Amino acid sequence: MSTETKKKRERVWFLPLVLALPFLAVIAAIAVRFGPTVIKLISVAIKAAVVS
Amino acid sequence: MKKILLWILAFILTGTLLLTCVCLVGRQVIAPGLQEDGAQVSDAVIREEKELARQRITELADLYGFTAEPVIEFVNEETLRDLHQEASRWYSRILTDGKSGEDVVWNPEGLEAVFAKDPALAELSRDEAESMILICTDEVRRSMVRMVLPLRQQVIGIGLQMAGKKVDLPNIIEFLVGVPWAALAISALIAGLIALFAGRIRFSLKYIGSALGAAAIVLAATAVLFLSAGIQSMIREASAGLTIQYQDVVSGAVLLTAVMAAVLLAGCAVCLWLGRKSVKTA
Repeated sequence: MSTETKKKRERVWFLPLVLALPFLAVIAAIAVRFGPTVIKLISVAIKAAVVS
Repeated sequence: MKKILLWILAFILTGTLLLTCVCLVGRQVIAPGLQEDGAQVSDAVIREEKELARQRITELADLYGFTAEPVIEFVNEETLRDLHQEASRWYSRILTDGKSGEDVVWNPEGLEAVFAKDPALAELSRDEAESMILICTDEVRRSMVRMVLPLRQQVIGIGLQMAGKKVDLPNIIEFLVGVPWAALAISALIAGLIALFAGRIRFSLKYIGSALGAAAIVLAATAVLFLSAGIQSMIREASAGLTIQYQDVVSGAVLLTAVMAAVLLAGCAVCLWLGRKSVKTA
């Protein structure tokens, strides 16, 4: 087996992670940008709508 | 050029697979509420609510001076299931009509009689005893309804009225219920396109497997992000009754997410393993 083929075979396992990176980046960006606001809204909604 | 096209298709396949999984979880959460005759509630929820009911009735008994045990026996599993059916119909009205309708009222036969037989209340004068029976019955009823449906029903009703002017909730729900299967069909179509453009199925496995693996990774990351948002602690602070129901729904959703992520990862491993063979033979 040539060294290049061996490398290709090993690299194939990292492909899902590489393909997931753009999605993870978008999710992280959304979480950083809107996360605190959404959590605050949920907190207010729970306080307004829930009876203790 | 062909490789770029294949990677773009793999990227789109990841997106459609994610949409399928997220919508399946959403469907699992809202589907019980769409049943007209009321959703089935799990035994674990009933057990925990029975314990909570015992605590609340004991607190009320200390406050109003009635004997707690007969009332605790009255609020049995069957009674709690009936109350859950009422609450479930209330949710169902919201999801199917977009209106909360009438408030949930629990009016079990025999609760007043339990108080009437209470020796602690029998010691009072007739008028006082009658008044106390009514007050205690009302308090227990209200407490049990709050435990099973711990929401300000009128606030939800007003909110739905306001939202109903801008969005058509029943149509949105109906659309969301159908989305997972449509997204799955699109995923199958894109996988077919990848196989077509790759020329041989074995060469396409690398791209399809990568998309499956990527979807599993993103799904797991999303679940971790949701669980770490701290919503459960907010609900725990707000209501013990809602916490029991929330935990039941979330544990079901997390289990489904874990199963889907495992299936996607297994598919990824099989595809990439077979794909590696093709690299070897190529």
